[in-house]
Amino acid sequence: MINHLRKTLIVAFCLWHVTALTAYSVTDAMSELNIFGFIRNTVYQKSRPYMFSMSLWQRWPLFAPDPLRRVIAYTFEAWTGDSWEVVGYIGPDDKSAFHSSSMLKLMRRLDENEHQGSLRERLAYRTCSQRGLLEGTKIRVIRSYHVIPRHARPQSISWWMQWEPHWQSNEVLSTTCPDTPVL
Amino acid sequence: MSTLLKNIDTFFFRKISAGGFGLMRMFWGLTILWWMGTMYKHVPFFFSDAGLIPTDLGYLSFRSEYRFTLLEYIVEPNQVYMLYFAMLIAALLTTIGKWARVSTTVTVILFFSFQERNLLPLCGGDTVLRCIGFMLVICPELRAFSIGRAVDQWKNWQKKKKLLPDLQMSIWPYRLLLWQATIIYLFSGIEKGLGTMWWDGTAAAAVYHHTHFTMFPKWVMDILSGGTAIVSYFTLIYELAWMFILVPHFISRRLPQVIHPGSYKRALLLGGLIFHLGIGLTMNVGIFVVAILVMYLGLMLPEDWKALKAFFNRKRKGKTHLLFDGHCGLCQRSVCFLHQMDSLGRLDFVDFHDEKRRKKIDPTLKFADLDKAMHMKTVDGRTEKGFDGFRMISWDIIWLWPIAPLLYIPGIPVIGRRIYAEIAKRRRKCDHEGCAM
Repeated sequence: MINHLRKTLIVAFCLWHVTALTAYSVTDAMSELNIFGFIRNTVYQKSRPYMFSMSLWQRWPLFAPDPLRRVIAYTFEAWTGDSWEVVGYIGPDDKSAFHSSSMLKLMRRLDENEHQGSLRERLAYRTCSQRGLLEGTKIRVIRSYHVIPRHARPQSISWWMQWEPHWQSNEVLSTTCPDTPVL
Repeated sequence: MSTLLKNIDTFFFRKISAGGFGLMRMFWGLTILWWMGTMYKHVPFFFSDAGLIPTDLGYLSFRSEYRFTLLEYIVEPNQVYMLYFAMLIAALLTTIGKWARVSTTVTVILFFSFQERNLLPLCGGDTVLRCIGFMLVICPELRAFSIGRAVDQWKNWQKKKKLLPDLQMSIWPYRLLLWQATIIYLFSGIEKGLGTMWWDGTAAAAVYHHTHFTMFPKWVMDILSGGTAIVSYFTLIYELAWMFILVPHFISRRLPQVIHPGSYKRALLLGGLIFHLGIGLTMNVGIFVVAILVMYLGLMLPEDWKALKAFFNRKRKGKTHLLFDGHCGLCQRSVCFLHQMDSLGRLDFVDFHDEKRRKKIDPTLKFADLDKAMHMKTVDGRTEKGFDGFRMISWDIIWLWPIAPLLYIPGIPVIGRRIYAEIAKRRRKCDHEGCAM
């Protein structure tokens, strides 16, 4: 009897887990398709507490629907009294360290969300700490970007060899180094 | 009705070897140890109040509901470091399987806590690691490939001169893991299908030129872009192919059999191995490739291991005989250890005191020679002993493959032979538990 009850509970849990996982993983774009729209509408709200509590939240738009084409880089510059000096950089040319992928992901997320300006500022403050800049030193963040071209059909190797990225830059933040270091 | 219940029971509770999940536990722990360990210098920045997200700015990033993390209460850099080291220690214990259930659960709680503290740097690989961690915690049997299991094996070997049978578990955790893998690939494929670049065959070239991901200079990626259409379509087809794994057997067996019946999942895993190694060699996508390959270990059923074993042994005509001293504790212990590592089943362990068997293998082998060192004799007649024998069988033991080439480095054989000779000389002083050196 206890064994039957245990088995019933396990089967119920498996069914619930599979349903919740499926409903939660449906993206906005996928829910345009009828079948996924139905799954999402009926189960999504119910699945959220479970998926969040168990840290199972997930979506899988890996390089989709189209791959990311905007390449960005952040350059941190400090005012030396007569000119701006580069004191830090996060971007594609800095892949020497472990977790460069984590830093690049962090930068992309901060870049996508304008409301996270305060966090971008913390990123600048970290450069102050790392470079030992004095409190009150002016620091600014220059955002550089270029967009990889999109084509209707594949281009030849020679076309890509002739292509060069067209970088553009703009200042996205200007502040001064704080008294409390950001580690 | 009873047939239906029986089918449901088989579907969820059929017994399978716990080896796949044991291996997954081991490599998951190792991956956490490596991935989080290399984050050492970023710990205060990513996870403490003195870093990127102090608690008062948490509203910009933290989830507002159903969020559980120990780092909500532990915010000072030094305290965070202590928790971080606790996680690394737990991950190490998980890897070796010391107190497997407890150490895995603690690693999961701590790893999840760090992930929930700062969502901003997380990528797909982190999510896969969390999913695997969850599966491990709910899995009823985690002791395979653990220290505890090795000790049990040794105790059994002392008594019965044979290994314990494989640990078993119900199949339902495997089913959930398979569903997880299907969601990853299938949903990624569907999402790609909703775009245009993958259909146009231009997506791979764009990815190759996104310098956040590429690992090679532009000219290399320019050349690789010549194959953009092939890679784009392969990616789409491969990911969408996972939908067919959902087709039940009673339907699939009525369809035209393109590949060997029952091997569809193995074909997907092999395709995935090629696909992800290709990504891993050309692109910097964090821990994603490693995490996915770790998940593949849990997706291997006994029949898959059997097929893999048959593939590796396809050119072998028989086993290599390993002749050892069955009266020596150290030799027994070594043989028990080698037996456990002999995943490909290529070794035949023979006590050379068993004269009948010894003579059957090779009547020319002398007792006095055998008494000086372990002898290994292959099916094609090659005989090696001591260090050279160990070096020869290291190619037969999959776990020793990483060190096998190192045993040929000049100088190593000389040292190895000396050490072996010294140990062999003193082996009589050893009992089952230790040696008097």
